[in-house]
Amino acid sequence: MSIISISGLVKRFGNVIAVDNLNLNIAKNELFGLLGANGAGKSTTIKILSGLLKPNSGSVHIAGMNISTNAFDIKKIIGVIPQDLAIYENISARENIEFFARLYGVRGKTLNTMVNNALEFVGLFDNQNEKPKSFSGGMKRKLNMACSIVHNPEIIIMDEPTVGIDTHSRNQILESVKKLKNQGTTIIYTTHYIDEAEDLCDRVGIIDKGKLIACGSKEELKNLIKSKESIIIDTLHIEQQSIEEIKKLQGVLSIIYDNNYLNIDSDNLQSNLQDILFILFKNNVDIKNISIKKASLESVYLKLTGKNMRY
Amino acid sequence: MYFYQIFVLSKKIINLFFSNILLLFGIVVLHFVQLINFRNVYNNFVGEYSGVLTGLCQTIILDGQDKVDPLNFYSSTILVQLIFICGIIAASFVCYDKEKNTLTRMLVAPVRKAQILIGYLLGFVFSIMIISGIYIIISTVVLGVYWGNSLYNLILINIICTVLSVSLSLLLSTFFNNTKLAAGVMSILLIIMSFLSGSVTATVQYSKTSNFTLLKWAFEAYVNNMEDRLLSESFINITIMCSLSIVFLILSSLFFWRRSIYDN
Repeated sequence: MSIISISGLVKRFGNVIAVDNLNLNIAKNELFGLLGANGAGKSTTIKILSGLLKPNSGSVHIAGMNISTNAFDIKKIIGVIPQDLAIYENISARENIEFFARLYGVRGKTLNTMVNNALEFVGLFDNQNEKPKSFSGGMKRKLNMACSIVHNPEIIIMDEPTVGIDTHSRNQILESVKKLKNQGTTIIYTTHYIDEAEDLCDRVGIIDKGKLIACGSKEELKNLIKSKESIIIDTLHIEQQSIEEIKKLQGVLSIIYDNNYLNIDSDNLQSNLQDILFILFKNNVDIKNISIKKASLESVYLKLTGKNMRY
Repeated sequence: MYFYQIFVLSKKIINLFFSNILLLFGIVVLHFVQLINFRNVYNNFVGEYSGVLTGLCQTIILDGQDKVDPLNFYSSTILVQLIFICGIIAASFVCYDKEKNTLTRMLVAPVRKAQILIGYLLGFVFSIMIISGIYIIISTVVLGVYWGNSLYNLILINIICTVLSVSLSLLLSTFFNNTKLAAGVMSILLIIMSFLSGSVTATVQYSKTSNFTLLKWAFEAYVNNMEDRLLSESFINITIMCSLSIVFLILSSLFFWRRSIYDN
């Protein structure tokens, strides 16, 4: 039984289609990753799910309620962790959490307990009386998260919660996400970090130009590409002629050149590698690095969108 | 739950408003110093030109205001300016909420936009009433300014003037996402209104134009109270201020709604 059901969702901004006929079902207690580059339509989808934007067409049902008629009730059971920080810098961390908890009608002793739980959950209990203006970027992100989960929502929508923070804080946030999942919360996690999606999510949806181009478990997605390994060559510059020559090699399934990275899928990697290098040397292509990678979400993403997300 | 959320929002506004107590202290002191300055200039003037004092003062400074003491007259001018300057702070708080995405966070909570607007309005009106109250008390105790014999009328006029200032701030803040820009525009507007209202310049020159400024209607109401006139004599002023407040609030809510956000 799906707790979130999206059907034929369309959102336009003038002539630009931000979300294009999106269909998606998310099960209860699932950690669903929405993977896509900047401007792919992730945040717009999130805004529609949080009741901040009205779609042009299509429907969204959350916990059996239609968002266009029951947005107010839906808001009570969801928590949204926005991409940008949404906290008050001039009041203490505790006051921030208390304020947003109160907006959900939490009060009295329950408020105190829930605020303490949220502070402990994100690891800011010892800093509760400090003002966020003195916090590091990672601590601010944690507070941002605490403000969104303090009311114990059934569904949490996270819009790129780890953007722009150090590795240590990022790992702490990712651990928190796993803990929330273990507590039985349904989570929608948008990101453009492929490793995060691969590490965290039960299922991943790849969104590009507003369209959901693939959706499934990591294994299901990896099965979408034929080759199990790819050759990645980091070049300084490459002529189209070299690419065409490599394409003609027997066994080469696909070749994508993006941001100076040449990504080649082949079903005969060992024999193709020699020929590829020969072509590149012959055409005086400067090579910075060569690596062979097993099929991953990154190669799936590259194969499906033609874009290299890391760079 | 509905009123609890409004209370929570208002309380947060009051907390934030008074979080920078130094700024507020500075604003009150600045206006008070202005008043003391005026009193000193006026007193020196009296000493120097005792023979021609009345005519000169009335022509140049007061333009025929003969019933109210110049100090009282100027006090009301300063009070209105103080209330509208606090309105600038209010506008910048609303823009801060937009700029820092805290408004978005409020909107993803089960809070209706009407509650947010009412919360803002009540929080700001309460805060500005406190500030203006402090100014009135200090000016009365220290400089002996006479604000009229009816305290109720004074409070009523003060509330109406404050609501007018806050509603204008709310309206302007809907147009801007940048705190500094909103504060800048509101400041320029206030300077222009002060200049044209006749409260700090000779009214003859701008008598007609002054009718289009908010400050004129506000400070006239205070002056009427200082002259111990009946509240009914300020009927036009009160009606205009109330009507404008309602129009500003309706427009603010319309622009606020225009963000195509659900509100079921």
